[in-house]
Amino acid sequence: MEELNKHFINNNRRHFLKKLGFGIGGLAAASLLDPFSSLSGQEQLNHATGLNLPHFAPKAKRIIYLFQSGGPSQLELFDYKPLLDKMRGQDLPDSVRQGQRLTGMTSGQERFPLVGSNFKFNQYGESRAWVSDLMPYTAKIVDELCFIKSMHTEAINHDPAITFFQTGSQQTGRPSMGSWFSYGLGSLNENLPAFTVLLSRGTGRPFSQPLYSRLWGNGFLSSLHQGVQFRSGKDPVLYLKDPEGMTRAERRKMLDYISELNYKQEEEFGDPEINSRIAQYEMAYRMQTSVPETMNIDDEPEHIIKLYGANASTPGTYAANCLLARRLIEKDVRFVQLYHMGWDQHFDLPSQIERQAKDIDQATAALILDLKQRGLLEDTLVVWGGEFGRTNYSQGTLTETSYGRDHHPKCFTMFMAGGGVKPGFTYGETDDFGYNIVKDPMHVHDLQATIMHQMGIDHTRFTYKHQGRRFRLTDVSGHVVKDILV
Amino acid sequence: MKFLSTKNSLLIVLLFTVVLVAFVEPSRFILFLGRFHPVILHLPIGALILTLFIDIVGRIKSNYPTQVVQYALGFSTFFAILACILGYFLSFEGGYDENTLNNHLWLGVISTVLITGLLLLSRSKSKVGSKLFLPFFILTFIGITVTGHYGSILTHGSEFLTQYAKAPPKIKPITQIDSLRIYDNVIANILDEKCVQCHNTTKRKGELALNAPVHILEGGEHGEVILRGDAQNSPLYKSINLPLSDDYHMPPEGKPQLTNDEKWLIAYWINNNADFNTKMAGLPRNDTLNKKLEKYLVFQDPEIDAASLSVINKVRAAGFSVFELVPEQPELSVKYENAEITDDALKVLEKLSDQVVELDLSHTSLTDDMTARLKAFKHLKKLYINNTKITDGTLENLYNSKFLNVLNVYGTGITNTGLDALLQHIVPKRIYVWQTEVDNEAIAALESEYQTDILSGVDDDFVEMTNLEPPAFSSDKNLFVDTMSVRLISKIKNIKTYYTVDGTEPDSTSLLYKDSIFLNRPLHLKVKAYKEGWLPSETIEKHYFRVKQEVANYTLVNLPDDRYPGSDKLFDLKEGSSRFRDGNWIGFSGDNVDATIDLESITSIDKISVNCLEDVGSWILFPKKLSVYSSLDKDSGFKKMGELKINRKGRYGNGTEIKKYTVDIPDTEARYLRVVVENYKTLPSWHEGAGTDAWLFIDEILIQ
Repeated sequence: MEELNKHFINNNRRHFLKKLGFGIGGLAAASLLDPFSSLSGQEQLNHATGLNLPHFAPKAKRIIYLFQSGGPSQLELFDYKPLLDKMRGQDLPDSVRQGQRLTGMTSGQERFPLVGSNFKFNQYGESRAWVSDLMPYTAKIVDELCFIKSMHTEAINHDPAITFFQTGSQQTGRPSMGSWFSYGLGSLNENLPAFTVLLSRGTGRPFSQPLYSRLWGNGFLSSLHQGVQFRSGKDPVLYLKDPEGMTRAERRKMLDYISELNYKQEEEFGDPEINSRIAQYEMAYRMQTSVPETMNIDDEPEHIIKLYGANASTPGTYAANCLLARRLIEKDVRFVQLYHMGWDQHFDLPSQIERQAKDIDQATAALILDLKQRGLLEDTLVVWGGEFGRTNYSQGTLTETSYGRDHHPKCFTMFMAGGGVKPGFTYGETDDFGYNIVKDPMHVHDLQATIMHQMGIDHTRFTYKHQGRRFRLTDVSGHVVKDILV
Repeated sequence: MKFLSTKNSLLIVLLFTVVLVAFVEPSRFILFLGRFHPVILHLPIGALILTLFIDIVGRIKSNYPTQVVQYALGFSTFFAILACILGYFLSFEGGYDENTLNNHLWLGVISTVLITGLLLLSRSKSKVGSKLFLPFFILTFIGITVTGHYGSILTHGSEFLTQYAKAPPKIKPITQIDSLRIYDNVIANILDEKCVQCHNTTKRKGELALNAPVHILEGGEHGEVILRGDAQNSPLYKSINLPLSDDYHMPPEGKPQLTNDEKWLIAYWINNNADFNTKMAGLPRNDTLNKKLEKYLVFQDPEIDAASLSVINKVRAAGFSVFELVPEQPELSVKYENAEITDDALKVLEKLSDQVVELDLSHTSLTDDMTARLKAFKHLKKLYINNTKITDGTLENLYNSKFLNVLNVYGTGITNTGLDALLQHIVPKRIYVWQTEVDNEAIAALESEYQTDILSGVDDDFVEMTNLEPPAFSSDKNLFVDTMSVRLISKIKNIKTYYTVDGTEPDSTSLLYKDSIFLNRPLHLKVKAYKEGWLPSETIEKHYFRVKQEVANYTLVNLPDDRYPGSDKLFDLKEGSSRFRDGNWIGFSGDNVDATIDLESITSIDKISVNCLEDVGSWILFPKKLSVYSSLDKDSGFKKMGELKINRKGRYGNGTEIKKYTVDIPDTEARYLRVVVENYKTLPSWHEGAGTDAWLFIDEILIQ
C-alpha cells in the first residue's frame, strides 16, 4: 500500500511538471545558470556528490580511524599519574568524584581504592610525551603524534558510547562518520567503496562485548554510503563472488539486464533507493577484481611485513588490518575504519592490557611511519582511540599484582597523526587523580567537528534533512579545536 | 485643559529625572537605565518616518489628518527627550571617545529640539508655520541621520560603515619568518581579531584601547596593561589566562576566545620587551616559535581563471580524474588513473596547466621525456611523481614551480645531485625521497642548508628483532582413519620449519619439514619456524588421533540447540578449540546426546571416546555419564557394552577445559552402536545459574 501511495505521489508530480512543460525547459534553464550541478553525476566536478563540498580547501583527504573498542585505560598507556601510586589503596575522595555517576558494575562497591599503573612511564622524543612501557613502538613515534589527554564523553556504557563516537548520538539510527564523508565528499576511487571497515579481535579479552554492523551503517543516508566490511579469509566481502560456473561476461550480461529493469522501475516509481541499488550492483562488479587485488598482500616485501609485526601476515589480526588500511588508503579509499576489540579491562587489567597493547603497538606505529615514508600522511588523518576511559580506582579487589578499572567518561586519551594536526603535541590536561579535566576539555562533538574541519567541511553547514529535521554529525554542538591544528 | 495637565505632568516627570541625575551620583540604577538607550532611541525615528509618510500622503489626497500628525509628533518628542536622558545616563559608563561622544550628544539634543519645534509648528495656525513645516521636517531628518551616524561609530567603530565600500587592502606577501614583524604581523593581528572590537579609541571599555601601540602603552583604568619583559605579571596576559568563568576573564564569555598559540605568542612578545617595530630576525627563536609563526606568513596566491568544462572533459577522456579543490574555485586536483601514461595524455592535460595545483602521476610509466610538459604547470602546489621511471632530469623541469609545497619522488631514480640542484632553484616544504638514490648524509646536509623537510624511509633500527609468525596447519582436521599427511602454510617465504612428534620442544636440530608430514599413528606434533633476521616462531602443536573408520550414517534422538547446531559435526574428524563458539562444538541445553551409528558392516571395536568441553562460566559442564550399546543388526535390539560414570564433588572447574572421555569395550563385534552422553542436567547449587539447565558441548565421537 505504501509503495502504491508513493507511486501515485511521484506520478502526480511528474505529470504536473510535464503538463506545464517544465520538465525539459526547467532543466535547460537550470543548466544554463549552473553548468556543473545539473548535469549527470559523471560530469560533475565537485566529487560527484552535487553538494558543493568541501566548504574550503581540505588538509586531509582520507581518514584511518583506529577504533579501540572497549575503552583503553589511559592511566596504563599515556596519562601518567604518580599521585595514584602514592595513594594506592586509599579511597577516591568525594571532592574529586563530585557525585559522578558510575556504571552498575561498580556502583555497588563499598570502597573505591585508588590505583596507579603497574607499568612504568617514561618521557620520549623531542616532545617529551609520556608513554608507558606497554607501548614501546608508540613511544618511538611520539613526535609524529598529537595527543589529546582531555577527551570526554557523555555515555558510560559501550554501545551508547561507541554509537556516540561514530554517529554523534547515543541513540542508534544516525549515519556513521564514514557514511557522512562518503555522502558529503564522495569516492576518490570508483572501484572501491568510499567507506570500508576492518575488524579484529584483541587477545587481551577475546570474548568481550561484540560490535554491530549498524555502527558503520548509513542511517538515513542512501545505503550507498554504508561501510563495507572487508573480512579476512576466502570471501573478503560477502556475496561478492560469482556462483560457480558463471563467467564474468555472463555476469556483465546479467547486470545489464537487471539495470535495464531497474531503470524502468525507477521511471515508474521514482524511488531513489533504486538508483542506489543500480550503483551498488555496478560497484560490486568492479569490486570483484579490485578487492582481491587489494586484500592480497603477497606483493608486500618482507621488510614491510616485519615493520608491521610478524602477525601482519596472519589475516584478521590488527597488524594485518593496519597493513590493509595502508593499501586501501594508497588506493584512495576515503574512510578506512578499523575496530580492535578487547579493551574492556574490568578485572585482571595488568595481564590483559599487556597482551592487548602488544596487539596494536607495533602495527599502529608502523602504519603511521609507513604512511609517512610514502608521503601519504601528508593528507591522511589517522585517529586512534576508544569510546571512553577507565576509572582511577580499582573495580573488584585490589591486590599487589592485579586490579580492574571500570568505565570512565570524564577523561581519556586519544591521539591523531598526519592530516594537518600538530605533530609532537599534547593538548589538554587532567588533574593529579586522573579523574577530571583541568585544562582544554575536548568533547566528542569537538573531535568530530575538528575531523570534519580537516576534511574541508564546516560541521555546522553539513546537514541532511530527514523527517522534517536537519541532522548533522555533531548534532547541535561541537567546536573546531584549532589549537591542535598546524 | 486636560491635555495640558497631562503634558505638564509628563514634563514634570522628565524634569524631576533630570534634577535627580544632576544632583545624584550615577548609581547602578542610573547605569541600568542607561542601557535602555539603544531600545528607546529607535522609537522617535520610526515615528518620524511614519509621520512624514502621513504628512505627504495627506497633502496629496487633500485630506490632511492634522490631529494624527500632532499626536505622532507628540509621541516622537516624548521619546526623543527620553532617549536623550537615557543616552546621557549611558555615557556615565565611560569607555567612549570623548569627541565622538560629544558630537553625538549635542547633535542628539539639537535633533530633539528640532522635533519639539516641529510639534509646535504643527500646532501653529499661522500660514508661515505651515509653509515652514516641510523644510523644517527635512532639517530634522538630517539632524537625526547625522546623530545616528555618530552613535554607530560609538558602538561599531569608525570603520564599520565603509569597511566593504573601500577596495580591499593590498596584501603584501611575507614569505620568510625572518621578515615578519612581531607586532604588525602577529600581535596586532591577534588583538584586532579578538580584542579591538571593544577596546578601540571610539569604544574604550575599561578605558583601554588596543588598536595602536601608543594606546596599548597608555593602559586602561587600572594603569599599564603590559609590563615589558614580564608577561606573567602583565594585566593583559593575566586576564586572558583567568578561568572563563571569572568576571575579569577576557575576552568575555561568549566572544571568540584566544587559542593557546595566540596566548603563547602574546607571552613571548611581552617577555621579549613588547617591542613594536622589531622584525623576527632580531628576536630569539626556536622551532616551537617558528611553527607557531608559520600561519602568520602571507602568501600571494596566483590569480587563476577557471577552466572550461569542455577542456576538463577532454582531460578526463585522456584518462585523468579531475576534481575541484573547492567547488566553484578554479584550482583543480588531477590524478592519472591508469598505469600506462603517454606523452599524448600529458599534452591534453597541458590545457589545464594554469588550473592544476595538485597533480598525481604516481605509479605510472612516467619518464623524463614526458615531464618536460610539467614546465608549463606553474601553479603546482603538490606534485606526486613517486614510483615512476623518472630521474634527475625531471627535477630540472620543476625549477619554475615556485609554489610547490610538496614533492613526492619516492621510488624513483633521483640522486643527491639532482635534489641539490633543485633546491637551489625552489625549496618545497616537504620532499619524499624514500627508495631513491638520495642517501641519509645528503638529506641531513640539504635539510639544514635549505630549511626543508626531506623524508626518507623508516630507520633500519626501528623494528627490533621479532618472532617469526608460526606457520599454520593447512587443514584443521586432527583425526584420521588410516594415514594422513599434514601440510603447513606460511605467508613468509623461505622459512625453515622443524618439528617433533614425541611432544618434545622442537629446535633447529629436529626434523625438517619439507612438503608434508606423513602420519600413520596417533601422535603429538609440535612445529617451530626459523628464518634469518627473525627470532624463531612460537611453537604450535596439535594432537592427532586415529579412528577406526569414518562414520557416514547416524541418527540423533535430540537435535542440538539452534544456537550451536550441526549434528554432522560429530564425525567430521575435526576437533574444536577452547572457544565454545568456534563452530566445531554442538551444544545441548538440558538434553542428552543419544546417537545411533551405522558402521555399515560388522566391525571390531575396542573403545569409544567422546570429546567434551567444559566452560563453567558459560554454564557448560562435562557430562554425568557415558553409556555404549551395540547390536549386530538393528532389529535384534541393543546390548549395553559399557559405561563410564563421571563423579565430581564440590565446586569445580574454573576455566575452560577439553577432555576425552573413553568407554572401553574390548573386542566388540558390532554393526550398530548407540552412544548416550548424559547431560549434567541441572546446574549445581554452588553455580551462579543453580537450578537451571546445564549445557553439554561435544564435538566428536571417536570409534577406535
